[in-house]
Amino acid sequence: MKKIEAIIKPFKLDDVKEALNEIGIKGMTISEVKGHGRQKGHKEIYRGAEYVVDFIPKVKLEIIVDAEMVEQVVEKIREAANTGKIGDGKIFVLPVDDVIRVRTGERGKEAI
Amino acid sequence: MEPAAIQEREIIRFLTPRQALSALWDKGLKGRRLLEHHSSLIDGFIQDRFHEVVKEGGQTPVALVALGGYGRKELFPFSDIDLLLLYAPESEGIIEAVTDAVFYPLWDAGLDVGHGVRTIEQCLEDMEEDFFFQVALLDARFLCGDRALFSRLQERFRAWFSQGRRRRFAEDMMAHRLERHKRFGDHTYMLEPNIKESRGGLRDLQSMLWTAQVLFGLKGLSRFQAEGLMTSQEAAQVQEATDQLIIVRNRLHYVSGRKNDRLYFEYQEEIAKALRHYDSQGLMGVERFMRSVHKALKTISIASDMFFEHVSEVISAKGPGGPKVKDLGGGITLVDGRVGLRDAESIRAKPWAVFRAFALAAKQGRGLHFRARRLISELVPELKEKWQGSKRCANYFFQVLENAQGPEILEQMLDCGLLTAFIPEMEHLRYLVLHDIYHVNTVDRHSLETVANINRLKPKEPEVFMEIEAPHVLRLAGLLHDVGKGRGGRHAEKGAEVVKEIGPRLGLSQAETECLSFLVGQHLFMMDTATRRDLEDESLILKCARTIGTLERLNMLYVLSVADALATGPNAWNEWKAALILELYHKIAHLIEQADLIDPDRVAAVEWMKQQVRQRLGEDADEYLPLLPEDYLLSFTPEAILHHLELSKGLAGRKVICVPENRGDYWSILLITRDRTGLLAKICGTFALYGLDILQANIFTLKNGIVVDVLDVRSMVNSSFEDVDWKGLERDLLLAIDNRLGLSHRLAAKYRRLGSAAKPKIAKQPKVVIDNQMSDFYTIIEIYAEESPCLLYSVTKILADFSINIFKAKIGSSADQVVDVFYVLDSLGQRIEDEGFKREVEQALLYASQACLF
Repeated sequence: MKKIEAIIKPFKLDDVKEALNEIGIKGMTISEVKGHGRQKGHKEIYRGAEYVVDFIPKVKLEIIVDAEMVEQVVEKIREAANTGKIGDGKIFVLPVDDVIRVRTGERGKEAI
Repeated sequence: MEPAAIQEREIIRFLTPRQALSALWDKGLKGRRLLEHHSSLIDGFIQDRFHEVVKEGGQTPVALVALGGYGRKELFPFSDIDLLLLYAPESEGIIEAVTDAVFYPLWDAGLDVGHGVRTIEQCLEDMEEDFFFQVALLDARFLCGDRALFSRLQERFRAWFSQGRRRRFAEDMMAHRLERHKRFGDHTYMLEPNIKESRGGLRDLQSMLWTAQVLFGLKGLSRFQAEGLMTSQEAAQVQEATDQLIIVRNRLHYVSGRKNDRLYFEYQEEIAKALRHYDSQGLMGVERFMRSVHKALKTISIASDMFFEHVSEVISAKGPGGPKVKDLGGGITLVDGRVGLRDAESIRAKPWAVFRAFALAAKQGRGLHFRARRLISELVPELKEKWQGSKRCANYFFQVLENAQGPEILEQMLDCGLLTAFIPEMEHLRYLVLHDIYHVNTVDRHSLETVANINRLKPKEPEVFMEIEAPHVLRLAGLLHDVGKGRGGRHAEKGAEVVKEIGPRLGLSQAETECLSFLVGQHLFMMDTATRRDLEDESLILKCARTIGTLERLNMLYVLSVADALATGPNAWNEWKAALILELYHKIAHLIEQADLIDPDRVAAVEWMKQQVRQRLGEDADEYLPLLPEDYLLSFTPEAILHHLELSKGLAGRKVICVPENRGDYWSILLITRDRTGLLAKICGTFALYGLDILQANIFTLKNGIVVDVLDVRSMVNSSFEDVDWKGLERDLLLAIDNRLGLSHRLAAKYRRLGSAAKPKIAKQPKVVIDNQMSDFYTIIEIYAEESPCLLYSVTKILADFSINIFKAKIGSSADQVVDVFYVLDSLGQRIEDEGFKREVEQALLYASQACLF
């Protein structure tokens, strides 16, 4: 089993969810995160007052999948989240030791 | 004793509380009757056990007394059984036998029994220190044993409450109540109320009854009405609300399987179903259920608030004859510094007085006196028509909105019925619940919070508010933005319609009403757009700017969006969302300031063009229309555009489509191809190779990556149109695009001959401006230089070397200079903002503008 973490642009969330839905993935954890990277933050001077936002809002998705599905899922995410411009994000694949369902105690693949 | 009764008592012995409860329900008992029946069963059980040890009718001075909730015969399924074993010192010997006989069986049955063993003296001692024991004794009820002993306790108990102690009791009660409200009052308890401890819960009701008992000697709600503490309507409502909460609490205990008074989210649906609340008319069953719960809590909350304000007044009275009343004229009074109303007659004479009173109270920052609030609620049916449509009332009403720094004053207005009398459309927002963990407040409270938030934001965003000329419209929008909720369908749109009728009633002009309708209809727009749309898409921002139209409206919408989010729940507003909304705000503001882009004439022109093109495209319209940038649409005739699109279809087979046209003075060349880095340089280079001087050019990139370039050229060597090898040009252009043509060396070879004639005589120093202010979406590079055949190629070659992509370009001359404007982004799709890089590019372009690169 693997955990897939994807950092994407906020407005791409719906597209990615839809794409994952197409291959049968409906469960995921979504969080609002702050990104720092090559993409520049937002600085404005408006009527003399300076507004600085030094992070870029991003969305993080976390999904657990069977190892066999990893490539397919990664490609779906990448395709849906891609705009070609800087700041499109990154996808990470991590190993998972175990998955347990709280309600029933099921473990492993059954619990995904 | 009847066999059935004995059997029932044995049930208690063997069943868990849950099972016992089920058994009782099956018998058709619910609510208060269930509690009483439950109590009776326990009573019987205890009495039986007691009489095994102490003969009935005997003289032993020992008694069992029920305290607290058990004393009130309100034994919930998982309630504690609070018992007092009262004895006279001489009976000490029998205590152990009694406790063995009574308590152990109860514990064995798994019941929660609290017990105290005291003499009368000990009771009085303990009362001194323990407020909660005082309270428990208030509900004392004789169960069995020596009745006379119990009566003596009662007498001593009553006597203990002398004047000073009664007042102290009330003060303690109020302090505990305040403390409890603080502990159980934050937003989590709005979503998942605690039926017992939350504001308006059963504890609040009890506090009221206990205080009335001690302070006024009143026992029971029915006496309240008799003594003028409540109207009969209020008493009936409180009774009904209490009964309802009891039913809910019973069910909650059952569903939780333990003594839990918190209506957790997960339980809400189950209980709603059990109590027969079904989905209907756009509301879920659980929403209907929770609405009834909030209504009950509110009813008790209002009643106990009023009661304790009354108590407060009574115990702080400086002398006989009640509080000091000062008459301010017009039916308004000041009661111990709080705004009040004189009497019903003066209000009937001047109905707007109630609004004026609220306006004064709002400025004061305190609430209206409770008697005034009661008076208003009594007069609502009679006067509501006079209030509606009264401009005078409306004026005072806007003053209230303006001065509300918290929702409290508006809540008072809502609770006494004035707000819904004045704006009946708000009636169905009362206690309205949205069943999700995001919306923490009921919709009515949420709306009031929004108004307060608008006022709280004012000092924090002075520049924004400076632009807002009609803040009263903004506040009204804050109050009414969710008025379309609970009717099914999209509430923003519905609300926008509803407020169109409310506006004029409140004295708004047509323009103001339109603004109000706009704000309500669009109140979700900024948040939705900021979090779900690509803010780097210029056409999106353009659309937003045109929808909103003016800076004032943008600022109003911004404030409304933030105020709404803050009033929704803790997850609705944070730095993350703020960053996105701020970015959107600035981009829209920027475009709005560039008035020409949102000039209605331009918008109309674009729309007209779109129509024309749409007609000609037929069914292909939906596919092609979104690809066409506005600038492009405004630069060509509909037929030309169609022609371009037709030609572009042929790009699959050929890489470049080149269509030259003789226009007499100059030749117009249409080029259609796929975009790639360095394309323009290759085009300029190839044209230079064929001796074509580019007088003017418009470069467009469609959204699908197709480039449409129109270049107006002239021969540098006076060739005629027919003399030019157009086929050769197209062929070489293809080679250049494929990176197979050595433009640099060929150009150098060709133009070496021209020598100094080709070198520009620098009368004017060239100028290069790299600007990031004008547009939020591109870096704009402007080059002012002397005309020269190599200029364009050199400049575009430099940009290509930096991997800078050109999206739009306008190449032309002004007077004696060439002015080239390029809309660009770097290879990463970003604007050229890095100072170092910017300088490098500037230097390179300056050089290219003066010296030929070939």
